[in-house]
Amino acid sequence: MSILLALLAPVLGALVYGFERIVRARMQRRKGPPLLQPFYDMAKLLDKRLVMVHALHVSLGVVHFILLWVAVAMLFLGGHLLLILFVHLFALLALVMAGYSVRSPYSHVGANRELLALLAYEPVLILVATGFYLTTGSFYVEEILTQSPKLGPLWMCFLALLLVIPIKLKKSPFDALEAHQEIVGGVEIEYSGAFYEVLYMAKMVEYLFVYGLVWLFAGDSWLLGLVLVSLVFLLVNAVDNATARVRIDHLLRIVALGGLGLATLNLIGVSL
Amino acid sequence: MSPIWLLLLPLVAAAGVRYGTRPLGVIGVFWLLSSLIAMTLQEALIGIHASWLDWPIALADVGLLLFFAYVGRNEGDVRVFGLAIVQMLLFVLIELFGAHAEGATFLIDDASRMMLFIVNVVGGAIVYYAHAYMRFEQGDAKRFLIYLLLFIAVMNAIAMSNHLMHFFFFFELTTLFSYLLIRYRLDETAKANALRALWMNQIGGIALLIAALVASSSFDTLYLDALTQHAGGAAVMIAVFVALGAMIKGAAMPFQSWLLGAMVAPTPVSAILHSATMVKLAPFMVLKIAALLHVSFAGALISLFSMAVFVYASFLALSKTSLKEILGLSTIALLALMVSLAATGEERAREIVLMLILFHALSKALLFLVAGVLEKHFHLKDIEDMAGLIYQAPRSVALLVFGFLSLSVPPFGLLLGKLFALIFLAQMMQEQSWALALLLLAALGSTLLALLYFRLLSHLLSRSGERAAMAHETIGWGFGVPIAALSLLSVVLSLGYFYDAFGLGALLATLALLVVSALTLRSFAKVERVKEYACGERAPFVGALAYYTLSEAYTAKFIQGFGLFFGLIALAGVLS
Repeated sequence: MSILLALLAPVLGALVYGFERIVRARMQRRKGPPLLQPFYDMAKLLDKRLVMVHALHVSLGVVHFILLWVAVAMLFLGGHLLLILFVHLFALLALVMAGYSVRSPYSHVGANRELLALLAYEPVLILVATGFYLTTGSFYVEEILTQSPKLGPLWMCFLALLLVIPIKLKKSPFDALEAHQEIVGGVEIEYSGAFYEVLYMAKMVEYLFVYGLVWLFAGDSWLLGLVLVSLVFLLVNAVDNATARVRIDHLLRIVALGGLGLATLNLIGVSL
Repeated sequence: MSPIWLLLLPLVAAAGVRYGTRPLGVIGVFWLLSSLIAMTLQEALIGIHASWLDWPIALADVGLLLFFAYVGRNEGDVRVFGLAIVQMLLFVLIELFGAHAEGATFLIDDASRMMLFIVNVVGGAIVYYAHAYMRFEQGDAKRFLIYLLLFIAVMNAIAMSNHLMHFFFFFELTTLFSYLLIRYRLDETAKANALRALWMNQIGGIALLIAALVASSSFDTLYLDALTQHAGGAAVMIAVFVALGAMIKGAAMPFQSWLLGAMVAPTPVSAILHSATMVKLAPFMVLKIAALLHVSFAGALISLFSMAVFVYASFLALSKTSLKEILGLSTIALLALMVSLAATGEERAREIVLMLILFHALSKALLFLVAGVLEKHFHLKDIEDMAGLIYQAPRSVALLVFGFLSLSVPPFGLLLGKLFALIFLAQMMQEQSWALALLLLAALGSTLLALLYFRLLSHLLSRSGERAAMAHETIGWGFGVPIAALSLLSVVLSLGYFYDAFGLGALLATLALLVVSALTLRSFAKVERVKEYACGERAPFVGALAYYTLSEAYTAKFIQGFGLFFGLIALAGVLS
């Protein structure tokens, strides 16, 4: 089961993404695209003429996608949480290198913002993982999921994760990384056709990664897991619809101070 | 083979370089032999009794301190002179007290074996490289090579020493070599920086002397293995002062300027002294006395201080443009990480620190050697000028990229070491909750370092300037052999470490991933190319690196803060 989930991660991610577009549209009293829109997009993108700026740039994009997939697969297969975070970090860093490797100011600005955001949320994620270790005695997802829900003792870590999620999913108010109206998608700008599809899929896999982390707080309770993921899903989209973008330096300050502060307080509480 | 050969071989090689006609051959044979001996040191604990060495070393010590005083007077530096006098007074006091217990003069434990490995294998590679490098330099190349070989002998001696006063003597000898090698180019900055390195490290020497004074007066022994058996306030004080000396050698924050200043020396000096071997004395010395710091207030302070240095040095490196300076600061950062872990005194931390020492030495030596090639072949020192260098000098840049990757991605050992360090700190938190502060800082510092390395890598890959490919890019055997050897070692040892930690399946999966990534690059070679999209604007694109820095007032305050903290540790040591 979990192997199947891991293998089908991009497809699953696409479904989640398609569903999200409908939910977001309904919140705005629109009808929204069909559920399978991401697949129609894929068909269209694959049909386009294949062009690129240079080989290294597209390769790094592919590496980004593969590493993200690996991270999600490790998450589904019950791997070591810190290792998963490290693989995820490298996936993002590959994208950053890609962003810097082309001669486009938008791409450079985007890559730079990716780096800054990484600086803000990576320590938060490490602390959240440590929170799981302190409460369950293991870094292994497999083990964490066999224990009782840890949302109670780790509720501040959960809030810290909530601060990080909009960055990962490129949602307002923390979407300065790609900021379409401002820097035209940031690192994504120079990808097109099939290569953009790869990046598109990477984005969808990221959905699974993020909601997988949310699921961890439910431990062995499927019901709580479903409730948590649904609530976070609705909350993230509602906030996305209701807020304006904050500047990257504010993002850094809010997430680094707020997230780190919450997670640290939580860990102090847990370890005392 | 007896480890004593490791003391003799470099001396023989130095004589061979001085009087022989084929210095490169001599160095090559020396490198091979001493590496073999260092690698085959089997027994975990070897003790060698040679107490007849005490007097000659004490005499040589007096000579050395007199020389320091002479340098201070001659160069008109009051600090060097004054510190040499203080050292002499302390030295006389210790000799008056005298310690009467007997013990092993040389003792080889796991930490010593690791030091001997990197000193001979990595150090040998650097000496080999230095031969080729010195053809580009003015001045007496032979003397330079002899200094390096003698320095290796000294490092081998200090790695084996078990007697605190011998330890002090060899420690001061490394300071002397630092001084001589930094001022090798003999211009104004070189001389000034050499003097600064001298007086700062003399303070480290004084810390060691205070430790020795306490040891001989409270326990009547100067043998490290005997000292670590003791417990209580005086024992902790000894450990704290040894650690203070170590942290100065490792250029921890208020003393960072000596190591950064040392970058004026020829590149092999930076490689051998200031990244690969000598500064590794910092974690090495702390490991030697770590048992005494276990669950002590002073030990906790040292750990916290060093972890803060780890974060701050990583951050500071984000504002620098000179490649050597960046490498220097990241060395300070990682040394501080090692010291911090070592000072917890936990057994599990010890293994992690040893692995960090090993993999850091390999990667940093490699990076400095490649930096030297770039400097000599392309006259490049500043990373701003290296934008898109990969299209001009693919081989050299590929090596540089490899060096940075070996510092930062799986399956390389350094990253695994950092990962295990985080896991270790989380485990430590279960017993000692203050370790949360260490974990927080470690997570922050690791992220900052990743940011630093990838920012540099990105810059090397970026196509922000037009460059024509070079017609001939040759690295040459003199540079190529040691660089290849270090790269190979780094790969092989990392794979071994990875296999040890995660098993064959994970190793194969990682390798497959690397191969696939490499293949994707090839498969896209024939795709049609287009220019970047500039939203209709026609302004020329000038790529630039982003720098992150604090204002000068804050920087000064931070350094002062670290100075205060350093003093606080000394105070905690005295009071314990």
